[in-house]
Amino acid sequence: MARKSTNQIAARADWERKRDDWLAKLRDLIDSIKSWAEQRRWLVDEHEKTIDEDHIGSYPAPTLFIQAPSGKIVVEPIGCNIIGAEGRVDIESFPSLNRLLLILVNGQWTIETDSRIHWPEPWSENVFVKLVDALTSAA
Amino acid sequence: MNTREIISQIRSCESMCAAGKAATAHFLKVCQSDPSHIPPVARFRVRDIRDCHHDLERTYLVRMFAIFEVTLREFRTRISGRRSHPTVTQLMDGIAARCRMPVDHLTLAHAVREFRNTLVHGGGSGSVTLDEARSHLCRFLSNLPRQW
Repeated sequence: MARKSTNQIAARADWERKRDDWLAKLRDLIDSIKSWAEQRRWLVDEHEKTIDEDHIGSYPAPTLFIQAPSGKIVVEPIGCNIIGAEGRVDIESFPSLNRLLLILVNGQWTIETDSRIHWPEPWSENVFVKLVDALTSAA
Repeated sequence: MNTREIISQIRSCESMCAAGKAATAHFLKVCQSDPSHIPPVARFRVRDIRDCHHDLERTYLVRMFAIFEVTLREFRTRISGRRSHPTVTQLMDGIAARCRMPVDHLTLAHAVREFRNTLVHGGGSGSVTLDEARSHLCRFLSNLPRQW
């Protein structure tokens, strides 16, 4: 009984650590995107959404609404309990609903298209700007 | 294929079921007070109308899951070119991994699959309402590419 309880506490601590690592990475990502967008004088609005995941429960996470000259973009975190990854953030344009995925693997953000084709370039400011343009200009 | 259209088809199962339930509830009420409303050539009785009314949600859940399964098989064929016939469990797990899906979305869709199996083959798994099934299956599908 005591061992089961200890295991449960350890498992709980693991999930909390996983959530905290993910939120720290997410915060860095959101801050970078905000800064890159603001440098270009794009309108940026940060909001909060509630993510609810098994084992972890509900927690708040930041989202971004960006008005770029070519269109609107939403940066939306999906969660950290993702198959084959440590986290996922969707970048979606409106009203076209074109979407890209930022996947956190081994602590690094990688980009996948909506068709789950791996984007060959690493995540960076230049790539972000290029992707915003591609997302908002595609029909 | 457009994922939003498939999600609409799944949602329409729920609205068709609601319409069917309203219709059977009305017909049941009418026939209970006056069984002569059942056409003489009809091969059913008031009891069958009641059973039909009570069974509609489960019937539509099976139909809803069939749309889901056909969609996943079509998706797999398009993206991999493979025409093999994996089990539904393998199919769901494979697509969930490819689409970088949240584990919860896969788990909830499996709960619908298990309940659908109980309805079709018997056995005992946790009950899932049609509303929950629609929600879980649509959430799973929302992870698929918008167009494929």
